[in-house]
Amino acid sequence: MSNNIIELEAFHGTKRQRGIEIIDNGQMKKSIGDKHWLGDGAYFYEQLFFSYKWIKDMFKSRQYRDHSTYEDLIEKYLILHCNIKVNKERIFDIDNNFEHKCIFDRFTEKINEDKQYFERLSNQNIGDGVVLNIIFSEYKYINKYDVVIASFETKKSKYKNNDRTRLNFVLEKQICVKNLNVVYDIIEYNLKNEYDNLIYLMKEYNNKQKEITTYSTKRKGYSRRYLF
Amino acid sequence: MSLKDELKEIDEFFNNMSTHELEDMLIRNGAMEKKYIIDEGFTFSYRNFDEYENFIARVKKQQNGYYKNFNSDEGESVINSYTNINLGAA
Repeated sequence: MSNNIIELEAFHGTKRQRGIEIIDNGQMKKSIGDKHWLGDGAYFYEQLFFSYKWIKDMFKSRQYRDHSTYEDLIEKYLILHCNIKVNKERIFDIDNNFEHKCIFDRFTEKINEDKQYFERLSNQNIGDGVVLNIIFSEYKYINKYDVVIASFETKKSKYKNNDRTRLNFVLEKQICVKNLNVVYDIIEYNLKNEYDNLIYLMKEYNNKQKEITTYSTKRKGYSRRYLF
Repeated sequence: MSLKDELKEIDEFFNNMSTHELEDMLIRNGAMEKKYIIDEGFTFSYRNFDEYENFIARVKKQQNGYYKNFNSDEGESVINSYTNINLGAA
């Protein structure tokens, strides 16, 4: 294997029927639509937790309730485990490559420069996914890059009463594969042994801050101090 | 290519485009997924209403939130089975 080829272990959560089709065909399917933050492509996480969260959220939005047991969840959803083998020079890495970030920012800037003159899109926010679709399909970056990597700061509401930390987010790293040929070894991941830990992690993810009281000698009394 | 040259080429890419062409490009790439009501209880949205043969139709059953994505061939037959839709209508 060339020194430039890296291998990423990745997870993809999806409906069970769709997942079985993917396994049978040995190839991923692209996700298309405005809910996908990095544009059209097949989406993966390196962390199992986020794939679990994805199928948990899908379950709730379609069934109008949380899943009650492991069996309840996996009846309708599954997580695929895959390997992504890609030349590191063919990764458009917005996280770790500042030049790539500059390119992305320039596209966003040029699109928004003319926004006030749009007739059909004047009230529309242009999402990052649309910008990336333009970079890859119209500006032909699909010929240069197979994968997009970017992280998003999420769950800031969790930290809103802690103004002492700069780490006031949960970082969600997404991998969007534009060239499906770099995805190999697609199998269903057996969640059973990790299920209890995932439930616990989900509770931590949704953890609300605790309210505590501290004694102020200046005010000679107790006051509430929010801490996470 | 240096970043400076790359950014210059990007600027040129946009400068060679009219506002209308830019808007078309944005719509082709998902900027506006327009929703149409095609029958009672059903809406569909598609990305590229300027080039009919390349749209992606999503049929939503409003009662229970069911979504299904169709490719353009399937979507066309689904839509035609419900109504004769005027694609220019909002």
